[in-house]
Amino acid sequence: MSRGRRLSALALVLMALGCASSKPAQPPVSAVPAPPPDAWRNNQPPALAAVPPFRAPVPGQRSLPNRLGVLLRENHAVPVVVVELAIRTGVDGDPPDRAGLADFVAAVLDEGTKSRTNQELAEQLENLAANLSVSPGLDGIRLHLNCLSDTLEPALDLLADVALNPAFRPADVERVRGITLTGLQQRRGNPGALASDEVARLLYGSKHPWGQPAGGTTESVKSIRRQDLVRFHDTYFRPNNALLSVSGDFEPEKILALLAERFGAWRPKAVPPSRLPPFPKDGPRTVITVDMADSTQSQLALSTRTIPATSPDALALSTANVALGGLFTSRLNHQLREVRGWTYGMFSSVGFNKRTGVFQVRGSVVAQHTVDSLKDVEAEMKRYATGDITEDELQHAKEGILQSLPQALETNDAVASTFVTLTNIGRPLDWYATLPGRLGALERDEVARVSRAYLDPSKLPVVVVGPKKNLEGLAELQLGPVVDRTAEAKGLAARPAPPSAPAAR
Amino acid sequence: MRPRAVVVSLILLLGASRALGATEPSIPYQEFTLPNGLRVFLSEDHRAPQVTVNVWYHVGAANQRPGRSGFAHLFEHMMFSGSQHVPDPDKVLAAIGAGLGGAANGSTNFDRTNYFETVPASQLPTALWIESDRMGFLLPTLDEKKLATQRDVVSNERRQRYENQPYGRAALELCDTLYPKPHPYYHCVIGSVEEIQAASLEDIKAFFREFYAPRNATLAIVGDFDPKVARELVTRYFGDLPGGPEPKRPDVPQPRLDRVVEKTVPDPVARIPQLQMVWNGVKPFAPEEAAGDILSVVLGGSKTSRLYRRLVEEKQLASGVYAANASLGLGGYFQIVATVRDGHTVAELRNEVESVLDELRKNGPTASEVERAKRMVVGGMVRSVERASGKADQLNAYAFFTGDPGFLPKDVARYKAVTPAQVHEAVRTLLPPDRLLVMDIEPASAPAPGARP
Repeated sequence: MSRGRRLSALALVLMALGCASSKPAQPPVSAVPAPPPDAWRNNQPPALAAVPPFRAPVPGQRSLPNRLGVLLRENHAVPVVVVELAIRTGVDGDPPDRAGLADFVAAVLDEGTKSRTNQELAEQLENLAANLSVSPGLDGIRLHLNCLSDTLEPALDLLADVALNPAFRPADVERVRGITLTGLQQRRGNPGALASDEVARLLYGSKHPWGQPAGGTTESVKSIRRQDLVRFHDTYFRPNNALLSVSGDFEPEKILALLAERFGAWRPKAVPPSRLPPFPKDGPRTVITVDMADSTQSQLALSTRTIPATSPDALALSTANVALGGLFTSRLNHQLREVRGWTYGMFSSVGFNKRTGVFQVRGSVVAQHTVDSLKDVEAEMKRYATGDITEDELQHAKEGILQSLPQALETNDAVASTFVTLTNIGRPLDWYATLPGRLGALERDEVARVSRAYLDPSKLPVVVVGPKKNLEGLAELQLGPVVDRTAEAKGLAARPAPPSAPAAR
Repeated sequence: MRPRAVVVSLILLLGASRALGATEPSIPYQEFTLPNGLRVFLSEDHRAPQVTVNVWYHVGAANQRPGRSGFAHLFEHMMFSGSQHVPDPDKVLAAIGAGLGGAANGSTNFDRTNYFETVPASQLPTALWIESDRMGFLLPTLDEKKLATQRDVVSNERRQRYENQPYGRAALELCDTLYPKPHPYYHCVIGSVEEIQAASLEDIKAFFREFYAPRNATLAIVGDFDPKVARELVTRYFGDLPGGPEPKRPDVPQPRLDRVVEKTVPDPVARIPQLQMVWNGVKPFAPEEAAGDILSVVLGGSKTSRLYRRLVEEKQLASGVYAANASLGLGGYFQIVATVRDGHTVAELRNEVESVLDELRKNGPTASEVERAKRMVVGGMVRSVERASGKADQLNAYAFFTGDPGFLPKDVARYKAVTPAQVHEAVRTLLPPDRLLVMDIEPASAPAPGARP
């Protein structure tokens, strides 16, 4: 709260109570030191006249004859067009013994098509100054093209070729496999990556594709065959399981024709329904530790599954999160960083998908204060989970969410991707355009209620990746049984290699 | 597909040449200077009802004295700890909606420090109020407690971003080798924990008095505002601040490597060895800079680059490789970074990098690979004006390094003018085979016995 507003509010209250005249008489003017010439600076300046509020972009919805949906948003600010082709199956399409398959598909996809080698493809993209990336996610794979608007046509040719005609040449598959395995090994030394993998396992369970280490395991990646990649592509890369999201400098009718030329002949085919195992039941709270003896910090993560994006509580939960740990001034960062000086940052986040949501507190703390930090986080969360959010905190959270929208939706990259996310998680495309009204109507009671319902730390498993020698006193916090998973997490357990694992194919 | 591919490649050429000609990025702006020396750049952008305020101070690690590594950055943290009339700027910013998503922050690099916030258009006065107050009135409310906290916070920043990131320690080793004590770049911008902890309140005060004043700063405002109103507000909030001393630019000669320096860097967080080869580099906007940037793209900036093709695709010795031409105010560095692919060694990588460099030294790049690199660089510049906050930073950056905040079109022209011959020359002048740092970064703790490879 600003000093300026606080003063004027106080003045109003005083006047309303008729108190102003009942204050003690002011001392004679001469006794008061002359105000410094910069006293006017004491007050936060009044706001200028408000301008019309931001209205988040909402795309036009079209479709091609093969039912491929197209979202279009024109924006001529810069001569750039972004086209995101979203495949609506990602890690959730990984078979149980093929962890990392969707990641593998994404990594090989732009390594060459039936008519272009990987070098030809790369050279043609670079000649256009176009950027094409393929990103796997839990619920989809995104092919994201950013091109200059006057090279739209040749750039779209390349996007379509990558999506529809990937070659999966054995040499490219094996090269990518080697790089992937190297990357997996790298993750096993990286405290942040180790913490993330432990969190995923806790949230989704070791039987669920989302509960696997990101990118799979050494064994699973070794066992993936070229045929698995081809089959994943043939099964899920279908117009009825895809979406085109476009933002930028184009003419709608013209780009629709261009898209129809390139994607119109893509044949639909029924996509098998996903058969994911149920999420694990909440068990007793545990504390997972992974020893990083040489680390000077500990990574802390407290996490829980929450609710799907479409739940009526989702907006209140997002708002509750911001006040607890989303802003620089929020409780967690304020206490752990600004009061204690134990961390560079301690924040919480919420994310949603169609099936569930995730709340997580995350930060790195100086190793010798690992247990102290956990104690503080626990105390802050316990207090917050009583529903004691203040009116100021609520206002700051709401303002923060609203005022971050123009920047979050400033670039064509962000806008095109946001439309895909909204679709994937089952929210309407005007979600952000209508957000101000819904957020404005959100009451403090509501936010307090969801804080109590979802943010009680006594149910949140804890992950600590850091030096074991700094965990003295952890048991006394009584957060739950402590489970040391160092060997498993770092891949040091003597697990036998699957007998059928082919070395290379 | 074949016949169509031929047609496509014709379109590619036509389309791309139009791209280079037709999409010239620029940042329209107007400028004025207050009597106290503060240069101000205003650029209207009415796409969203917001305004971004960005202040550059011409002070960075370059201005530190020996024994105070990390100081410029520590100081930056103190600028958020409150000033005389704005005791809690973060809270004020949170109240007007600038508390989330990087809307308000600061950053320090080797040569400059910036502070910025994006706020609702109606709150422009508050953003200027905050910036002017910490420019003019930081010291009265500073105290030992605030400083002690930020010393610890910054020490943790170092732990998080260097000590506990794979290859973070190599970045520090690079600075210490290329810029040995008492050069102000040693220990990089972040500094050493001991020297961060040694910073005193007196150091903060002296630094503020020397570097934090209108004459050593520029202010850019980009967004949805009326320039007349903005000008009045800037004059009100900054006009009465004393200009400060005449800025002294740091003048430290660039230490030159005179041989091949080989170092092994143990890294407890990395599990995969990495090779880094580093040469002395140039200053921003030096005549050789643009060709050096293009060279970095030709060498290691994309999938078709020489090093990527050779190390990652053909020989399959590396899991990744890149090259960067880092230009810094007191002399930069050129860097090649290649990470081993499991089962290979840094020695193999080095052999192959040297072979690629030898070829390039001998025959130079092809015209088409230089052309491709130029298109990628210029394409990046077209995209750089998409964000209002990015434009504000660019106005200040160009003003700082060239004197001309509107330098962007000239910058584009600078890259377009690079010739294959200049890139060939850059290989020879920037990457001598007998004067460089070679770092072999090795995992410090081997996996336990019995572990699978």
